[in-house]
Amino acid sequence: MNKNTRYIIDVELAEAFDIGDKKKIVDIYSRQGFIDLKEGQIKRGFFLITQAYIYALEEGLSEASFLFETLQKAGREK
Amino acid sequence: MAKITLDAIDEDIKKSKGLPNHHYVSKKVFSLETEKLFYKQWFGVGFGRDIPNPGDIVPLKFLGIPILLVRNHAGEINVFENVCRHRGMVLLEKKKNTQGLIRCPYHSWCYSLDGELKATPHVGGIGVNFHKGLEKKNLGLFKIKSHLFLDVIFITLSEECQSFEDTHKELFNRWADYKKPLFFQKKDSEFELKVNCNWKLAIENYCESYHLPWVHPDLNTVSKLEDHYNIISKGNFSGQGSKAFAQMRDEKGKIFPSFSNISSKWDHTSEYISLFPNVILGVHKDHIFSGVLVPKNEKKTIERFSIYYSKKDSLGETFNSLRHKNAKFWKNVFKEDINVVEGMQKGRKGKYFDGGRFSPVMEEPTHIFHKWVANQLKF
Repeated sequence: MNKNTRYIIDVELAEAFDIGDKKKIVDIYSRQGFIDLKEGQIKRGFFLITQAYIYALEEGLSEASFLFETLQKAGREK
Repeated sequence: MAKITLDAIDEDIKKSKGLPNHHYVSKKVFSLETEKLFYKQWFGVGFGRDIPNPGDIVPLKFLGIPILLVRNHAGEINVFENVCRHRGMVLLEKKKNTQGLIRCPYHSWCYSLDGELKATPHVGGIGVNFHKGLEKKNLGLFKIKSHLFLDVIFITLSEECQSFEDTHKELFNRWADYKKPLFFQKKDSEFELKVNCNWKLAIENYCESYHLPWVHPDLNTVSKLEDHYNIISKGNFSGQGSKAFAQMRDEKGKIFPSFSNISSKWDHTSEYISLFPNVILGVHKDHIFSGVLVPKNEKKTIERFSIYYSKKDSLGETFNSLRHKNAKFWKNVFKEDINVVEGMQKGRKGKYFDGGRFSPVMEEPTHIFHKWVANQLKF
């Protein structure tokens, strides 16, 4: 991912935090996490997926199950 | 200056004195009473109506303890210490409703509404959310024993305390008729009063009828002093009742529906009880009220009240005016008491007042409360 794309995502994320839109936060972290995994950025990818998972849990969002399974399959959640 | 021992309070009412002044003005005694009269007992901290919906969470600090009142997704009430098991951070500062979990704002450890620790992000390193040294099943929120009675949420911090049912068996039996669903209308059935007095003065004033003709002259027109009787328990409550209860009517003569399957003894009887340490209750055939006294310090108390009705119908529009009248009536009664409880608080600054005396006939309920306080403090 180039620096410009990363900047756009960071701005998007900051805006979502500003307005407290947890669903959007989950979407951004999750989307970016899977992109990073695809690009071989394993550590960063699971960091972001964990972030998405936690906010999904807090809000009771259905995404939490899929994110949990992803982390579990990778041996990163029990 | 008067010196009184707690033994002087445990005497027969004909000889007994009341609690000495420092029990109303001293920070040190307030702190001792907090430990012995609250933490070791069942005490009221709030109402079921504070968390009416599944997912509701209310944080509060009661006598210094950070607690969470929680209604889980199945609709059951849980009370927890509002502290993360990780680094001791307070979990929530504001009330909220959630479809999900409680997330600590510090490192985001997450707990279910039943207190289980569900997530520990990055605890095993970045993107690794477990560690063999940290067993989630052993790190749930500290659950505080709780019980709901007449919509008051009671808690105890004592491991030795008997169950709420056993502790208050005598009252459960006395008011068995009121073990029924209660209906609450938020817009006109709650009120709060800030009172500049020690919490005990509100409890001891509420449980006796001696003051009624002087402090509540309007009340005396519907229920005269001679219609009242003392309610004496073996230990943890006292109060008074009236044998002249008459249901309130609106301008068209309409009355609230009564509780179903209630004994005919309640047709003309109402009862008012101080449940020690800090809850006041009143029951009538068509409504009840509950009050929780929140001690803020040795000379400030917040009184929170809720009125509940016997049937859902009573919450409807056709009863708006009667509900409003009823709430106004009770709020006025409790406001009338402010002058005397605050006056007694001021009197406790006197250098010579020696705890005073009781009317052996009229004030047994107050004496019982003082004896209860004295006895709890001895242990």
